[in-house]
Amino acid sequence: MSKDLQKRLSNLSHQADWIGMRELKETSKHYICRNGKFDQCLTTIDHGCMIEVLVDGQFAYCATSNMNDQALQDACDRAISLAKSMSKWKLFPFTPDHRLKTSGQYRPVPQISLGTTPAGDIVKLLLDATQKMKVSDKIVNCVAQAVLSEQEMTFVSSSGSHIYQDVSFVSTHLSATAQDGLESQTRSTGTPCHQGGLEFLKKEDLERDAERVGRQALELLEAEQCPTGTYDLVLAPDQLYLQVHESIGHPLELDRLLGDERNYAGWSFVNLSDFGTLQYGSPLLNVTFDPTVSGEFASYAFDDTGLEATRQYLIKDGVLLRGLGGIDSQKRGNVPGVACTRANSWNRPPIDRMANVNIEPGDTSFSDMIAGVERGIYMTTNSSWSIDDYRRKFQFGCEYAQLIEKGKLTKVLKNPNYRGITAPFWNNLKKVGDASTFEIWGATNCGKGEPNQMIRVGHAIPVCLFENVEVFGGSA
Amino acid sequence: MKNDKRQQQKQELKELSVALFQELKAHEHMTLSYSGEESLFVRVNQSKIRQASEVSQGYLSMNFISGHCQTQSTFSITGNLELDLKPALQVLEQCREDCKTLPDDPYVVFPCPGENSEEDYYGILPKREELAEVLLKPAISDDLAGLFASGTLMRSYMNSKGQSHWFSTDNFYFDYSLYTPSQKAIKATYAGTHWQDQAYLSHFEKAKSQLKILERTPRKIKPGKYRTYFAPEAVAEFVKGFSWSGLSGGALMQGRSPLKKLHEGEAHLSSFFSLEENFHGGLTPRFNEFGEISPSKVPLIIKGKLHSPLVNRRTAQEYGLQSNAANGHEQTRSPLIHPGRLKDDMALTQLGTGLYISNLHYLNWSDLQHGRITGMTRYGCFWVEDGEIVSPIEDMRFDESLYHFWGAALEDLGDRAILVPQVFSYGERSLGGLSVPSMLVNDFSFTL
Repeated sequence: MSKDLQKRLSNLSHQADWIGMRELKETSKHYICRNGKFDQCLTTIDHGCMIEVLVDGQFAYCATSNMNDQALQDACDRAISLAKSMSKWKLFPFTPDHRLKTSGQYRPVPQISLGTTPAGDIVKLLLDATQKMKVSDKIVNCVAQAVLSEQEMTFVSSSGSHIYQDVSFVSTHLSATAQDGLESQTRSTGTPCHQGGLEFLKKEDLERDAERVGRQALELLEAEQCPTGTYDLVLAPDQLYLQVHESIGHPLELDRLLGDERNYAGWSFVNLSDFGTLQYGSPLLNVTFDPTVSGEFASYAFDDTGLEATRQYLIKDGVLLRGLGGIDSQKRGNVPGVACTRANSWNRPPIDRMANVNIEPGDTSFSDMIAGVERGIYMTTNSSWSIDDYRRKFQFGCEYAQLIEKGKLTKVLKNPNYRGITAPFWNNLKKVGDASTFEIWGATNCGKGEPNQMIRVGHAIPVCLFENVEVFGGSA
Repeated sequence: MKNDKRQQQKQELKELSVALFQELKAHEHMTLSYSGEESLFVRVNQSKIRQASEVSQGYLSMNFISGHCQTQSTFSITGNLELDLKPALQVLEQCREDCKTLPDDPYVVFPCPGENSEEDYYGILPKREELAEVLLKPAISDDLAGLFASGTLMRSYMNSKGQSHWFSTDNFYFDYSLYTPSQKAIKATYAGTHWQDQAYLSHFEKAKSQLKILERTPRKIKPGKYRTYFAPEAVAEFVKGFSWSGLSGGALMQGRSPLKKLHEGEAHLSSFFSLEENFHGGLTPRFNEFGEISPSKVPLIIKGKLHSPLVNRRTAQEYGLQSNAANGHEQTRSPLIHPGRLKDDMALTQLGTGLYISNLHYLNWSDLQHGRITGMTRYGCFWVEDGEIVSPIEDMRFDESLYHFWGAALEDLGDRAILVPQVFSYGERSLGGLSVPSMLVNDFSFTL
């Protein structure tokens, strides 16, 4: 990373109304072991710089992986000429006031740094996990993966901004597939993901999860199909996080409401006039944009325009209060938003992204929640997801479910699925789990934007109970 | 041969690879794969420019083998040997360090000498200075959203046994949608290698003419089974979803393929249905990460029966299969569904009464073992009665098995396979496309 990015910015010759530079370097190691054998160790080193300019009210961008002075000047010149050629057709007249002066650092310190362990030691942990998963000859495939990443980002601008963020990430995934004849079932840990270090890759956690995953894959081979009908549905955090992501996070993105995403990711059933009035869910539903949660995947202090990130309620007592949009969308839509203009890497412009979107814990313990259900289903670990471009009609599949009969968890069920419509679903939220059920989840692969961008998001979620949900199983 | 930036890049890669291969010790091997692009992206909303960006990027993937230990590194390079050699040598040293502690890889694929190839395709791209006007002037009174992308894409492979491949092409696409005041939309993509203003105008006017029918009041369709016509763009979505792990030989062996029943002979698809990899169009390189060159045609499903899944050299070693030069992920790169007999201009007549689906959205498996897929209708989809479009429909969710819609329920396929270009740009712009005909299906299940 450049030690003197601010000086390099000031050395650029330009006539832009505003100029910014965002340098980013990310180093990742992706380890995979399968069936007791080493499969892959892939290192990725991605480093480059985005020059961002504002000319005649039009932002334009030029990205280069070449960090020498002449290459940066060339990128600056190209960005300016691009902005000039587009400004006559600009969608919105941005001004330098849309880029505030901010400075600061965000450098959470992991308990155990990623750089201290040899590759072979990580692989040994994963190899052992795949062996633990093989609890029977019917387990035909066991996979253990870990991705360890470190990302540095410096942002400087002609507004006087200077931001430095240095974060490390860990995600893991264990998966066992059991097979008997034509029937096969896969059980996994999902993909736990955190900001932090090797404290999230502990041998004892991997061993415990590996044995459970292998055993439950076998259980699924013998399990009954999930029944079809209308049931009370209890969703574990490793499924509910994706429900929140797809049916709360995305529909609240302001750039969707403003139409930017219509041609790709889609629109939203939410309108700009709904903020402050729409009863999005039951009064138990409290959703925050919270970039301050320690260890959550998309925590940060500043977004990629330099806006300081703070915790905000998006939905309070079920009522929609604000959207997920950064300063550009807030100005365009004249609605409240949050600091969430983010780019996935140095080679893409920043756009509205959801970051951490969390459901605040309620006051019901897991045992009390189950005890209160006469006839229901408890589903865990997402396996399938799909939702329409207005974020109304969704369908999710899970790996593992249990029937709830007269307040007790009973039979294991395979191929559990459910479907519904966003607003009625969230208005049927009847119980929210307490802090003991609250878990941090997230995703490494939230896709959006043109050109496309895949970015990290976080969701911290308690267990929740929904009434009257249409559930169904697999084909006979 | 033109002396342009891509030729400089090709030369730089050759010099960089020579320098790296010279560093190898007797028991070491290396392959290098390169992926680079010079791209312009222009994002449009409400027939205006939302964002414009240029990207110059290149990534080199180093596959390093020491004895039977293997590790990979992918890193960004600049195209300037003086800047790239030092970090590349540092990556090599890190690979050596990693191999000291990593166990052997039982399925390591060693590089070998082989056929070399070099393909350069030059196109005509619209001038950047005039682009906004060319794209948007025809749409000045319309509501248009979309992405224009253009530039040069480069792919390369080199190994320490002397084999090398190079592929480069200019191309562009304008992937856009046009909206009525009530936000019903038509989707269109103008793509190619040689931009022509008049061809774009014709394309745009054709798309625009389809908007009128969307102004009719949309009909709400009840869940149920419907006779359904799928336009090629909708069929392409099935193939994309299906290609994820659907045709992978490794996935079949590991119990995570929807084609297990087909593989075991417990089920079959319609005898009308044949699918192959077909590289005749030259839109995407035939070489893979292992240096192999794919045959120009690779039959996958022939008349409803699985002929061969996609198998790469690594899977072939692990399971004792025959490689058919599939890529690392065993995904289709240039799929083609064989056409049938259904004439496009007779599509509505053949459909009679039912649903006309132009596009699909957000597909995913709902029951992998039974090949069941869920997803949504999107853009201009219609209710048809007696061969006439009655009204657009509200978006519907479907949930149906490929063993049904490509099996007994497949009435016919269109008589022309249309190229549907790949327009993904995650990390880098995609190459190529899918060649697929339309299809007519009985009793297709819509659920919500």
